[in-house]
This record gives sequence, C-alpha cells and structure tokens, in this order.
Amino acid sequence: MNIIRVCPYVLLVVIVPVLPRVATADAQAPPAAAMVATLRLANGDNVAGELVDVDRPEVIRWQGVQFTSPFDFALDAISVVSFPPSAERPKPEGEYCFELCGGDLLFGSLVGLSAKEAELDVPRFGRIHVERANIIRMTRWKNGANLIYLGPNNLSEWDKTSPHGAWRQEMSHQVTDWDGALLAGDFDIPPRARIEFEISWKQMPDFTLSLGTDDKDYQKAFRFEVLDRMLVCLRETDSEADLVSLKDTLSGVGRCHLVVYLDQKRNRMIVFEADGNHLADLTVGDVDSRPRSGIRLLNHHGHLRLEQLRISQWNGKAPNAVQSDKSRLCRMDGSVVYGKVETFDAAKKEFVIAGEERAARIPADRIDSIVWNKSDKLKSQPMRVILKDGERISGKPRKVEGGRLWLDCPGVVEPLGPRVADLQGIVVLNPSIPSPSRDSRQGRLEMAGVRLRGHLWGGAKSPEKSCLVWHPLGSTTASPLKHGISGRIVYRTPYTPKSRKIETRRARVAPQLQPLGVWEEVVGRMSKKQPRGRISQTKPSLYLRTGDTIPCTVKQIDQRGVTFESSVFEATFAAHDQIKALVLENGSTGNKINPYKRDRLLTLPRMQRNNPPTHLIRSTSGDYLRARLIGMDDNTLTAEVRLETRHLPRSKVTRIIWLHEGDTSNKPALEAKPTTSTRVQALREDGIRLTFLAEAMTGSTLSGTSDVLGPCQVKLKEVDQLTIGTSIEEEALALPYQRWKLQHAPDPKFVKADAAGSARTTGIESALVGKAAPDFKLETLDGKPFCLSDHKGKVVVLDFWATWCGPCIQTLPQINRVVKERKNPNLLLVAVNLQETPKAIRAALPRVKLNTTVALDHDGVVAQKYAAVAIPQTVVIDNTGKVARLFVGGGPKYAEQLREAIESLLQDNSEL
Amino acid sequence: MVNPYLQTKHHPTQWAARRRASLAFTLCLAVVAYAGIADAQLPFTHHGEVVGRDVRELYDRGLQYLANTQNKDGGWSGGQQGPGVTGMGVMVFLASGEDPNFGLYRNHVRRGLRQIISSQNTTTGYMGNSMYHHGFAMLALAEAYGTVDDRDLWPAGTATKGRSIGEALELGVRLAITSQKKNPLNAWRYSPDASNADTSVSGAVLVGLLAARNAGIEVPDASIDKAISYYKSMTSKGGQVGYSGGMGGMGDSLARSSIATLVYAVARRSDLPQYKAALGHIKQNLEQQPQRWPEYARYYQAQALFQGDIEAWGKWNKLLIRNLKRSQQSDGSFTGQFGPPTNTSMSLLALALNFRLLPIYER
Repeated sequence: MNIIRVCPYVLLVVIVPVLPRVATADAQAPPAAAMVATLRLANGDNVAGELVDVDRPEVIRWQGVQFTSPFDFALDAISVVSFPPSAERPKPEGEYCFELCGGDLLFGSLVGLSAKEAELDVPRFGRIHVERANIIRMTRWKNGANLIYLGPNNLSEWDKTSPHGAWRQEMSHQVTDWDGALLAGDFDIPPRARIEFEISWKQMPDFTLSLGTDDKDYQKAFRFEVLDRMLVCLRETDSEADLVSLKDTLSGVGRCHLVVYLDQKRNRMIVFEADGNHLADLTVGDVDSRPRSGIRLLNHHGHLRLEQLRISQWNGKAPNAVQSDKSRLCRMDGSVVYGKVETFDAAKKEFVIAGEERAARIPADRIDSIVWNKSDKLKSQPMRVILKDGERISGKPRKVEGGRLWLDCPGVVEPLGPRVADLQGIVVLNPSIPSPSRDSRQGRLEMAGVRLRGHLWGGAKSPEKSCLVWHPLGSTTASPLKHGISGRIVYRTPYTPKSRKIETRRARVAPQLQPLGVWEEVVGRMSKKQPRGRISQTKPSLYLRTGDTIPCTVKQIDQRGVTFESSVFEATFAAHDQIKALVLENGSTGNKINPYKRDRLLTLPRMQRNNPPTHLIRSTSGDYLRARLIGMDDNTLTAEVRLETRHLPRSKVTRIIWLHEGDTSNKPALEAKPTTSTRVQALREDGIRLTFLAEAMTGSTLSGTSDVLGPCQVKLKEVDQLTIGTSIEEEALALPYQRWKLQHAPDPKFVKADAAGSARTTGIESALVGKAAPDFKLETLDGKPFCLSDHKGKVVVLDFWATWCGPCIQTLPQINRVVKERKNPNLLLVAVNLQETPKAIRAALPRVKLNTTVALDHDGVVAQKYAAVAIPQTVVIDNTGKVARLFVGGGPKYAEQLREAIESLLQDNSEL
Repeated sequence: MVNPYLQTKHHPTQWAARRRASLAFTLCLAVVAYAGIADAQLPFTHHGEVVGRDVRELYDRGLQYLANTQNKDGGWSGGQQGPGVTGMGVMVFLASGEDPNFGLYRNHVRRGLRQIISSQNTTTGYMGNSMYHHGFAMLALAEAYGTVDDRDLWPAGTATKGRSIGEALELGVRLAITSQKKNPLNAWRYSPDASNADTSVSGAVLVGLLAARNAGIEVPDASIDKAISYYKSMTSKGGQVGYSGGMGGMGDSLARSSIATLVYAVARRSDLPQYKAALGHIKQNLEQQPQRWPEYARYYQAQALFQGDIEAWGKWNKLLIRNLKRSQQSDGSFTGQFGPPTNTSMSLLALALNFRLLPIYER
C-alpha cells in the first residue's frame, strides 16, 4: 500500500492544527520563560518580545525584551512566532467545524450557502462570507461535546517525558531529535474512542506509538511502528498477533495524519486516512481485555514531531468506507450520499444536494459532515495565524492596530482581525533566509531568549539605553540594548583552554609597545596580533575578578590594594575587591596542586569561621599558607596568620590568591548591581580580556572606562567576543584562579538541627522502627525480674541511661513526667541503666526524681540489642510489641516529640 | 586596692582639678612605663596605645545610637530591658572618655543612673527583674561612684529626691551578700532567694561586688572568697566552666570560662590553678565565636583576656574590631538575640577595653 502523503517539511508546519486541550483544573502553569512570545527568523535566530502596532503590510514589528526600540522584520524573513499559552484556553465553539483550503479551520454555524458563497457565523469574527470553493469540508462539532482531549498543548500534560530535555515544545507541537525519547501519559481514552493524530518527520522515521496502553502492558497495545522502512499498525498479545502495512517506502521528510477508531472491548482497531480513505481493520484478542487509557510515543531514532492529537468518544459504530475523491454528505447514521451540496435552505434547515440523478433535501440535524471536492483555485498564502482555541486562518498581514492583527484572507470577503492576545502562533509559509551584509563584521548576539545574527552599530549612551545598537539580519531597523542586560556578541567562537592544561601552558613574550597615549596604548595593545590562548600564568601578572589580566610588576601592597607598574597599561593601582590573584616575579611553573590538597586548603575549619583567611600565599617551594594579607613592599610580605602577624621574604612568594568574603564556591564571583550603564568585556583572540563601561561606539571602535585601567578603546575587528553585563562574571568562573573559593567545613548535624529550630531526629529514622522489639529479661533495682514480653498489650517506653550521662540526667525526668501525666495503666516506662552499680544508681535517683522501674543492663547486652550506641536513647514500643519510635540524644524538643509519639500510639489503640 | 577616685569623693568641688591630676598621673606613668621597658611586652600594654580612628568611629556611632534611643526615663526599650541593661548603657557613656559631668553625655548618664536607682527596692536593695540586672546595675553604680558628681543627680525641686549613687550601691551590695548567705552554694541565680546557682548569673553579681569593693564600698572578704570557691568548684582542669553543676550544662562555653577568668583576676586570685586553666582555655580559642549569644561572650572575653594576657587580648581585639565593623548597622547599633540596645552596649563595652577608662578594667 502506498497511502501516506509525503510532503515537504515546511508545509508540515503550515498544516499545524493547534487544537488546545480542553481546559482542566489541573492544567499546569507553563514556566516563566515560556510566558514571553518568541519570534523565530527564517535563518534560525530568535528573539523574545512582543508584537507591536504597525501600519505597513507584510511587516512584523517586534519589540524585543532587551531592546529599547522595535525591529521591523519583513514577513518573509520570519519563520514562526510563538505566543505563550494562556492558563485556561478556550474550547472552540460552534455547531460545525469548517475546513478551508490549505488547512484553515473555523468553528461556527452556517447561515447561508449558495453555489458561490457561504455565510458563516463565527463567534470570533461575526458574520463572514467565504467563497464556497474555499470550503473543503464541514463537520458537526456540537461545541466539542464528544471531545475528551485536544492537543498537544504542553509537555506538562504528559506524565512521563524522558530523558530530561529530550522533548521540546514548538508552538503546540511536541518535538524531539533524541534517540529513545519517550512521551507517556494517561489521556482518559474511553473503551471506544476516536483518536486522530498527525505525526511528521524530517528523515526516515523510527518510532512506536501505542494507543490504549498503560505503563506496564504497552507491548500488548495496538500500536503504530516503523518496521523495515514500512509504517505498520499491529498488535501482539500472548495468544494472537496481526499486522497491516500502511506505507512501505518511508524516507526523507514526511507525515502521517490518521484517524483511528479503537474499540478496546472488542479488541478492534480501524484506521482511516484523514480524508476518509480506509487503511486497516485489525482485531487481535487478548486474555486481559481490560481497557487502558494511556498513550505512549517512543522515538527510536531521528527527528519526530507530534502535531495533532484529538481524542473523542466514539459510539462503536464503524464508519463506512467512502470514495474519498468524491463530494459527499455523510449522515449521522453513517450513510453517505454522493453529490455536491449546493445550497442550504436556512428557513427549512435543509441542505440541498445535487445528486447523480436528482437533487435531494436533507435536514441539517441529520448531517454529520459534508465534503466538497478540493479546489486548487486559491493560491497559498504568505502567512497562517493559529489561534489558541484551534482556529487557523491564512492570509496577508495588513496591519497590527489596537491589539488586533488584521489579515486579508483570499476566499474570505471581510478582512479578519483576531486579537493578538488570542494568538497561539504565526507561521510564515514561504520564508527566505536574509542575506548577510558585507559592510561590517557580522556577529551573533546571544542573550536570554535571544539569538540574533547581525551587526553592531554606533550610538551614544544615555540613562535609558546603552551605546550598543544591534541591527539583526532581516530587520530594516536597529535598536539600542537596554542597560542591565547580560549576554554576549560572538564574532568568532573564543578559544577556551582546558583548565587542566592551562596550568602548564608556557607563555609567549608579549611584543613591546611604543609609548602611546592611554587610549592609543590600549588600542595599540589590543591590535597587536598574538597567538591564540597564550596567556601566561607564570609571568608577573595581576588577575582581576572580571577575568582581565594585567601583566605587571608589583611595587607595593597596602590596605587599599595593589600598586603596580605595567608595560602594557598605564594604570598603576587595583583595589583588593577587584583582584583575584597575583603572580609575582618569582613565579615558577610550579607543580600542579593535587585537587585533594586544594580542597583541603580551601576548606575552612569551623573554629576559624569567625576569622576567615582572605588570601592564599604560595611559596616558591609550592607550599600554601592561608592568611590575611596586610601588605608587601620590595622585600617583605606581611600577613596575619591566625591573629599572629608574620613577615615573609618576598623572594619566597610566587603567588597570592584572594579569597573574597562571601565568595563561597556556590555563588558567582560578583553580584550584579542595578546600573544605568552597560559593562562589556572585550575578549581578543589572544585571550586578553578588557572590561569597561561602554560609553560610545564610533565607527567600529567601542570606547569606555575601566575601573582599573581608566579610558579604554577596542576595535571590533580584533575582538572575538564582547561579553555584556553579569555574563562577564559567569564566564570569568571558568578562568584561572576564579574557582579558588573558600568553603566552610560542614556543621555537625546537631548544629544544623538547632539552627533550623527542628528536632534532632523524628524518631523514625532507625532501622529498628517497625520491627519487633527484641525481647529481654533483666533484673530491676528492687530485685524483681523484668521481662519485656510479659507486657505485650502495653505501650512500653525504654529509656537507656547512665548517671554519668549529663543529657540522660536532663531527659529522664522529662520522660518520666510525660509518661506519668498520662496516668494510663497500659503505658509503662522502664529506665534501662547501662552497666552501673545499684549503689551509684540509688544515689542519683533523688536527683532525677525518678519513681519508675529501673532495669539493670549489667553487661550492656540489651543496649546492644537496641543498637544504643549513644545515650540517651528512648525506644517506644507499641502494644503489638513493635518498635514504633526511637529517639536519640535528648534536646529541647525531646519531651514534646515523645509526648506526640505516645499520644498517637494510645489513640491508635483505643482499647488502651 | 582602693579606687583612686574615691579618695577625693568627699570634695566634690574639686572634680575638674582631680580629673586633670588623674590624667596627668596616668600620662606620667605611661612615660615611665615606656622608658622602663627593655624587651618586654608591647610598650602600650598598660598605659594607652593610640586608639585607631576606625575604632573611635565605630564606638562613636554606637554611642550615638544609644544616646538617640535612650528613653526619657533613662532606660532603653526594644529587646531586653531593666536596670542591668540601663547599667550597661551608662557604662558605655562612662567608658567613652567624655566627661560625665560636663561632657556631651552628662544628661544621658544621669538619666540612666536615676533609672537604675529608681528601680531599686528601697527596703531590700534589689534592682531588677533578676540578679543579672542587679549585678550589672551594681557594676554601673560602682563605675559611676566617685566619677559622676551626684549632688545634682536628682533635679532640683523634685518632690522625691532619690538616693545617692553610693547609698544605692551600698544597698545593692547588702542585697547581694544577703542573697549569697542564704544560698547553699554561696553564689547566685536569677532570684535573690534562689537555692541553686549558676556561673553566669553569679558572674554578673560577683563582678558587681568586686567593682563595689574597688570603689570603696565594704564587701566582706568572706563573701568574695566563698564566691571564688564556688567558681573553683565549677572550673575543670581544662579550663571549661560548668553552668549550674549537677543538673545540666557541663558543656564548654567561652563566656563562662571568660567570666571565671575575670572574677579570679579582679579578685586578685591569679595564683589559682583554675585561673590559669580558664585563661589558657580562652587563649586557645581566640578565633572561636560562640554560636549562641556571641555578644555576651565577647563582653567577658574582652575583659578576661585583657586582664589575663594583654598580648592575646591584642590579637583577639583585632578580630573583634573587624567583626564589629562588619556587623554594625547603619544607625550605629548592633543586632542580636538580646535586642539592639543590649547588643550594642555589650559590643561597645567589649571594644571599650581599647580606651581603658573604666576602673573595672584596671589591671
């Protein structure tokens, strides 16, 4: 059989029926990132933002989130615009669903029908006139009365999406390129269901779609699969199996749009093409014919896109096979009348059909669907708009005004203006990739929700906008970036040295500079060609927290910062909070530090938490000293080491690493501050980084001021990447020394518990809880024997204690009080003393005010049975002889916890 | 040792002259001490290092906060309050170096003292909600006694003229001694009638008594000796000091080891092995900050280290200054579990050892 249309992938996007799921109470809110609309260009770039008013035809005016003014994109430069789904999506309403040429859908009622034109009443647009030839089919919709599910809408509708990140949402489609990507969920498929689905692929597909399944028995469900380049439908059970081939030469871009009638009670599946062609009828029985209500889609290999899934109730009556190429009218009883429906008698509510022999009149309320022959009269349109309730219309955009997008739709007399707020997506049907300009260097702007290739133009900064003006490909306008954004402009993917290798990489000597002015000097420096990735870690240099490196010789370090002399920069000073590391003139290649040693160095003992070191000082022999650097001159480094002041000869120091306060290993190096300026970091091909506040862009030269280095200029043609805002710090984390951050030694559990204000244990952590309490027999202080099993039916509290144990002496009276206050004869406290003499115990009893049974665990065997390695330990045994709670360690909430435990046990056993 | 201020107490007209003389004497000693050192300890150990500007500013900002937030009645609200808290506030003003009779905070000091004295039970001499308050109030009165001219403490024309500082202090001392006599452990706890004791409350009372004795109020030696014996019994060989003995809390506490060190030192019992043990313990833990009530620990650590080992205090003090600089709020206060007034006073009094102007700091 050769029954599946194979069509270009672009078209596939076009025929997207975005049918929303019927809004349910448990619909999950989409993530915040998805709440912004995204415009995707034909070249694959995208920009988050919103559609704004424009009065030019075939232009989309788009206001990007991070930009101060909108971009005007030519329609054909755009691929698709996706709008965020709303929390509750409307269900399409109307008596009929009208399918128009090219895949458009409208829901409404029929007002009038002539040979030329149909008048529809569509709730969203009011009364509209549609050319008759533009209508392919009308189907009874009954406001979606039989509808169970319309989708797909959101990945969160699926119970299982694995592996993590394998599936993505594109408009309403669920798309994957991952091998082994699985979607599974319970969709309340009734025992008799009509399931319509549309799946497409870019190359030879390989997937399994199981219908009416669950997590366990999916291998026994009716399913669609690709076997040996054939799409087949099949079922295999323990006793039977059957298979029908649907298409036998799958390759390249393709799709299948099928309607499945699934009768799980009769173990039958009937498959039709969407246009009514009958494809398969399988009946495969199973011992367990329990109906199952889930769907499972597994992509074995390649690209797969689930575009449509519609589940509705089915009355179990198999639809008749039809001659799909003929105009026809299908009655609700399943009977088919062939012939063209010419008119609708609104007064009598009857359709008039020109039959092969004579005209027939058929009452409207008996109609299930009417199908007309396809007409190729209408040309394909530049754009399709998909609405949140599933309606779709195609046409040419005329303007956006007052929150409505106006379209001229050929075949429809009136212009249609859906509200922008109701849009789910806009798909451009024949996009063309914009050609890059050769006038200036093209880069790629990357920010949250933005990837735009284009050009950086000059501008002047103001409090509202930065001097960086971006002109994306495909747009006729450019826009300045807002202040406070973060991201990067990539001109050439920067060289990223592997962190392990950089430790041993040898330096190349930097070329000597001519004495120039400050600006010229920096520019001059930046323009000298240097081999990529040749930053020395052994030459005397200052490493800033932003990632900048300043080759220099240090003159002095004092409380303010480091004073240096650089052959490259005119600057001579950097403050402590700007510095991450300093390599001194004694820098040797050094031995690589063992990672364990480094972790140990960077782990601060608890007792020093109040006095953390601020620096790591490395000696020429490779030793490190945690200290607080006080100062350094030509000969001596002065540092405070655990409150002692020490003097070290400078000649013995190779490096100093700054450990900034609050700069723990879990935080980024610097916090972003709200700003009215934009910070950039130019990364040159040789790895030199220069961070400054961008102030002006003249020609292709960006200029600004650096905190440390003063005025700076950078020529764009020499830059690999411009990093913007807090991305500078994020990227700096991967640079040398930046990962050297102090971490606190972990607190003991009891400190954490105290800090959280919670109890130390909840009493159910012990492995003994839930198990039978080990029986024992012990002598008591008054000489009588005590046997645990004699007290079955009672709640028994065993407290393991000793007179030398301070916390025991504190908790025992509390336990005694809790037990005595219940005054319940079926509640018993036994204080099990560990290995002490009766004399010592008797001496202690008045202090602990105890008047209960004290059992003597002379040899500690009982304590061993109850795993009492730390005391106080209190074990609560329920009336069935099982350990119900086990508390260790006392504490302020001990009594309260015990009281709760006892009360719950006594309540559980009302006979007590 | 007799408080030098006390010698002229009965000649109030000579206040200014006496202060000048006292200052001159101090400076003189400083010069002698400096000239006298050979290769000994730091030259400034006894008589005044130049106080850093940052320390002065830190202190002044806190002082300003206390001055701004003092109630009309002389006390502070917001967190802990009572005569003990007021006493600490008064000591912060006294330790500032401003003249308590003619300087900036003259009225603040007087208001505070009036509040303390007014809170005192006229019959029993008890000041406050607990013996903690009583102890700190006694200490403040003792530090003010002889320094603050109390002839005009109570404004003229006030219907009920209150007791003088000396009278209130004597009365307070009597209450503390009576309470101790009734106590089987020869020490103190929250209530004056308590039959048990702890080393924290007892520290407050005992330091108050010692300060009163230094100020010239009669405190029987037996009382001090018995209290010191209590501390001896609570100090372990390792220098850890128990809380209340027997029931509960034998754990380590820098605050309690500092209290013990301080009371031994001020009682002139540095001969005791327990003193050496407690001092050794706090010296070993200079960098440690207690998890709970760090300001309380710091208040005693400062004095104990200063009394015990000036060099160790010097190191610890660097850390204190760093930490206080970091934690001071923009209004000059310090926050914590006791509430801003108490936390600010305790923090500033820990810092006040840099000025050494309170008699109790005398080594």
